[in-house]
Amino acid sequence: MTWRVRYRISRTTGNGSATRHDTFTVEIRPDETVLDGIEVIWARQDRTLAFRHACHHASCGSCGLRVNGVEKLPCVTTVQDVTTDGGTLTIEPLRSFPVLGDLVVDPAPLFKRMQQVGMPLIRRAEPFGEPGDFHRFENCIECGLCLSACPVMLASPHYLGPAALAAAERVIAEPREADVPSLLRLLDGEHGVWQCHSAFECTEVCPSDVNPAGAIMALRARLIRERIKRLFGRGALAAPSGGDRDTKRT
Amino acid sequence: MAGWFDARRRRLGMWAFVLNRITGLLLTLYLFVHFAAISALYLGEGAWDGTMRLFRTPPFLAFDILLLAALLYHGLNGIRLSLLAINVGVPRQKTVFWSLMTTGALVLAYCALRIFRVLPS
Amino acid sequence: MKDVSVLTGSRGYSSWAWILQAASGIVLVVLVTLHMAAQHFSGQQGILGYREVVAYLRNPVAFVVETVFAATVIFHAFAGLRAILIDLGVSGDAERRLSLGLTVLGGAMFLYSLVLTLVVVTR
Repeated sequence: MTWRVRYRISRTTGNGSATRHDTFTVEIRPDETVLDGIEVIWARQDRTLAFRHACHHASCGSCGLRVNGVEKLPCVTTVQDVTTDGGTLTIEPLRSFPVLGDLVVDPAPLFKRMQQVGMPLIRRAEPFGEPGDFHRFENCIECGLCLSACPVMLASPHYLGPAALAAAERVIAEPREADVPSLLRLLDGEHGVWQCHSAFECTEVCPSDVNPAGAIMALRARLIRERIKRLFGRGALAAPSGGDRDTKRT
Repeated sequence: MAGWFDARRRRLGMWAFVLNRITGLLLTLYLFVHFAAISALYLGEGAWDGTMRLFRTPPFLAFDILLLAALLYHGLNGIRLSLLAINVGVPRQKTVFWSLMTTGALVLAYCALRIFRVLPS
Repeated sequence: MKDVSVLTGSRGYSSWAWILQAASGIVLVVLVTLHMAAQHFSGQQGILGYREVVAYLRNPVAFVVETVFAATVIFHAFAGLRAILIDLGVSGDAERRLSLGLTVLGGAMFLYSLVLTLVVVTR
């Protein structure tokens, strides 16, 4: 049994300056994914359609986009989750990222923010240390859905954003020689945790149980405690800043 | 800016944030209006009592109830935001929201009944 | 999008702005309740007549509470306005001018309310 579903897809032309929506109709089973439909459109109707996909099982985070205005990973979103037979799906790229073409965005803003908070593990030399040094399991697949859903990101392009703030919370929990006082100062600053408005949209759309909003609230509680300690001349915020703004971890 | 305030297809937290902003702006606007209104005190008893007779008419009393609704929403949601900031109730933030709003609705109902004299002062 | 590697660094004030906004809000929950109970849940249909208002404000405790209430609500309202405008992109020199302007306006409103109250209770 197949459904007839219209895909209304955002197309970007002319260096990203002009956007239109093209409508395609596909016959698709309701238990197939939204990404399956996009691939059928690309294969049979329009080979110029640009979109990202890789793992097809929500572990790479590549395919993130907006389906009917809500951020989703289309590789694990079934058609019946988001529409009905005869319905229309509006497919648009993520917000708050530069659009490179159609549904493809430049993820650099996300990775720069992750670097700011010291999340990447950087291998400095061969050989590795003990195998246990590099075992760290992270929920975040760096898909960017949270940045797109965040209302603050739309108004404030310098905001660190939910992904980086959640990553910062994990860096603080497991520093591995990171400069925690510097990181706390960054989080306490102009574009840190205090810009969050508790909309919780980041947690709503996260496909990977990161709970960025929860992490931001935990960081705020930590910063308030540090401020109280600083009143008594103690705590991490009372310590002089050491090292670069980019906290480096090995 | 439109996207920033656009809560369509968004969940509870986003609606709560947008309503918090809207009620905050309305209450700030009302603050100016209130200051202007209480300036009648300066003009003396006659001016004040005359103004208050107007404010006791049904349209103004109804406006008072809307104002109270905005005040209750903003205040109770503000309590929720303050609790979240100290990491209290975060996993159950929706339950906290609805509990506070239910309390607010009951308070509003009681006040409305008092204002319109359904209940005695 | 602008280059996010150029962060302006930690200044700390913005956390105080948020903390003071939250703290003033919590204080206002109490003060608004007192104000409503004293001024709007007595009198005919919750509205006091002139003599009732004057008698209430001549009580020193009530005078102090209402003055603190005025200061707190003006601070909270203007800090909220400032937060919204900063979210809309006001930053740097514009933000400093905005903060100064709101401080002056808020101060003027508070002074007005204080002077009005003093004039009324001393008549």
